[in-house]
Amino acid sequence: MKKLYLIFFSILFLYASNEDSFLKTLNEVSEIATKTKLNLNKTPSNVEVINRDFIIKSGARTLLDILKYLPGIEISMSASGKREIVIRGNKSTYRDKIKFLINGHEVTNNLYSNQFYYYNFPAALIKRIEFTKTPDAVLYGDKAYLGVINIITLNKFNDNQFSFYQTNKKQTTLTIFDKLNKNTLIDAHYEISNPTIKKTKTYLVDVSQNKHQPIGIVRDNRPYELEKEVGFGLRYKKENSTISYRLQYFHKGNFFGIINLPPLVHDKHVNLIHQYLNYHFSNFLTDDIIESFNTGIKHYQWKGAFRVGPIDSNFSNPNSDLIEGANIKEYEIYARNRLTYNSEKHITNFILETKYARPYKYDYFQYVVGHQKTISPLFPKNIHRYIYSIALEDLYIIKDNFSIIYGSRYSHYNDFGSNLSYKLGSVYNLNNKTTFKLLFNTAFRAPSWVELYAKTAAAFNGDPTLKAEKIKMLEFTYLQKIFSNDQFQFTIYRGKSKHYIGRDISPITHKEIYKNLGDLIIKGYEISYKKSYSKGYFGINYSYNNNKNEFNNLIAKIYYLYSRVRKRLIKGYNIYNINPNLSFFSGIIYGGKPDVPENIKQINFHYFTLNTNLNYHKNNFNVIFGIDNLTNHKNYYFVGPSDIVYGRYVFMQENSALPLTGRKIFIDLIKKW
Amino acid sequence: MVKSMKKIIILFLISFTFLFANINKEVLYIEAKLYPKIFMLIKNLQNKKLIKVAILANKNTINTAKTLKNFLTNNNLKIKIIKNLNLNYDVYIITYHISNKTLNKLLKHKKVIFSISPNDINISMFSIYIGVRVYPYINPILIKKANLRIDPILFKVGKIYE
Repeated sequence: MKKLYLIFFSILFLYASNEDSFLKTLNEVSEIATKTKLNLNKTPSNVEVINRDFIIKSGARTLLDILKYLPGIEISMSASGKREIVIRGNKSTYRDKIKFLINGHEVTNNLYSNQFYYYNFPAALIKRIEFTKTPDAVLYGDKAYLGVINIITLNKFNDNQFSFYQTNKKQTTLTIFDKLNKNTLIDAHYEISNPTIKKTKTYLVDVSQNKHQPIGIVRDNRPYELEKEVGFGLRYKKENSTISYRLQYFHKGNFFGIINLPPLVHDKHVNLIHQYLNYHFSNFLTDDIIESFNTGIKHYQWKGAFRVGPIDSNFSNPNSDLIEGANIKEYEIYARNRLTYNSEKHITNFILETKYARPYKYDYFQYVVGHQKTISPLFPKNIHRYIYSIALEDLYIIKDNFSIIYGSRYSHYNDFGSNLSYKLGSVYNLNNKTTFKLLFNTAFRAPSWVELYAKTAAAFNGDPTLKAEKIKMLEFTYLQKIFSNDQFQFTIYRGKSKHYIGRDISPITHKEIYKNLGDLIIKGYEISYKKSYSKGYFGINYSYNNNKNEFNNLIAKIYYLYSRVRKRLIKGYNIYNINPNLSFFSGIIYGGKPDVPENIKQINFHYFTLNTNLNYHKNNFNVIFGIDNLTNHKNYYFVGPSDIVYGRYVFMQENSALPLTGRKIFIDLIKKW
Repeated sequence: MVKSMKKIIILFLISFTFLFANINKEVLYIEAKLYPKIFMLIKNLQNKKLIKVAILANKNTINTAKTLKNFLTNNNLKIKIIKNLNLNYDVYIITYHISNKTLNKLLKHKKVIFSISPNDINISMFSIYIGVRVYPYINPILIKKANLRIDPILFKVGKIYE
């Protein structure tokens, strides 16, 4: 039939003007659809997308308030009070082993390979979140180990806006987004969070000869959870070129101290500043081939101090605490060129990438209050990392209902030699209701400079002989439509992380060191169901992880006796539009008990929160009033012991429980123009 | 069998795209870029330097229509949002499911009809189809009914509604 029409029209109206322009536009809009993930369910990809409607209506203040509703994601906290994104039960001290992008630009640092200074990024400025919970080194390169988060901020499609968010827990957020002119976008935000958290007892525990018995209370203090944040973003686009600049300043109080010790006097804090300046150029080389070029510079500074612990037996005297601190600066220069070939049957990406990074200031100091600082270099001289890589990924559309993806990336590190990552996947639409996806991915993570080279008095000591971590992950997804406007999804995954880098104790120096501990088996499944109805939409999901470590090279077994993560998570949400101006949100999150020691099993470590809000909008004005943790359920994070100090002691919170802030009442005002 | 399978797949893909997003601004932006190029491939639109376009909206879709109008920035288009049908325009972009009476009136006067939602392809000649790639979505039956003459390239690269 199609052929008949083709012949019919070909004979009658054969002319070719405007064809080139049309085909080029078709490629352009296909590129937009791919970039904005409109074609997600037709590609062998496991990216999850959270859109603006959910972000605003959920009443979220920060990025983490949004991510907590995703299947398989647990928002947790380290012993030092640092927020963590636990993906599929993988909790890792000081780094979440993910690649974090803002508008496609990486903001993960090289120093620690983390990015927690962006975890409180205000929800009001987020247009869309793209989250991949699986390794994808072929497309994203280094650091895309356990997943990738890409935050898309408000852009030309959004209205200008100002927002003010206030909670009863001393948390305030101000944001602004403005299209200064047709070429220039700016956004800015200021946040302060200083909730009052109840006092907690900290015990000193002697772990020598596996006694693990508390000696006594060291501290009984209130945590110091002050966080301040200032951010600014600028995008200037003219024709095919875009210049982007972003600054993120994060000030963090000591909370429980870096090793679980609540502060006494002379509270310490750290300041982190991350910046990037990126130049992007995109152009159609031919009707079929798009060139996308990025180059830029990134800068990161970590400056601050924290309490390590008492240097003598007088544990209750704050003036006998050892204070450690540092002033570290790094920069990175990078260039990436991507050629995308679009044809009827293929979408092919060819990527060339290079980056050079080095720390250029790395002062480490330590002192006891009232005494002189001793300053020494944290790293050896002249360390740097130079990476170049070449990648090819092809999506082959075999039939309308069947596509495969395959690709490989060759990377060379000056300090880790060569590595080959690869992927293979497919998507098959069995009929109008059923889809299957199968993906196999590998990735590689070179240790950060702290893991390799740091030399400190206690917690951070690197090992230059560390091997890089490698991961393989197989993932199967089954999608089923039961009604016309719903989607059921079941995903099962199994993978192995080799040469897992974790912390252990040096048998020689008795200091804590980074070490390749062995392998980690990652396995589990996720079930989700979402449905839209005439007045709104709802979703519910359940996830289970059953990861197992096979660490055979471990001295400080206490670190890894317990997984510290919740194996089972149940989440749900419902957005009900009462009328065109008024909507009601309800969300619920339940987390099963983490794997905890026998002696504290009586503690209710189950996580439960019921969140609700009412959202009213009229004439470009939006007001959201809501309550998080409506039932005021007493939630705790389970944290293991602190790092071992002096080869013998650890500090532990009473029952290893870090309390959360309890019921939160908030108001969010957004004015658009 | 192949036909029905193809139809099923098309409906399946459409529903997934629009189930949770409705018509979002990116889709409108894509349509605003693509539709004017399709206008150029329609022989019946003789004065390509000034094409009169009406966006047919109702109270529920007026904001969508306004957004689409803002995205349609080509100089050779004269665009107006209308709520009541009149026949002063060359092209009609429908933002809601129009009645058969309206459709027949437009067809009778050989007007070109686009829809912003692929779900309305049965009452329009062109829409958008987002598969792995983006395609023009074409309804040859209505094209033939209005005796439209179009560039064969559209049939070559487009998805055909059957």
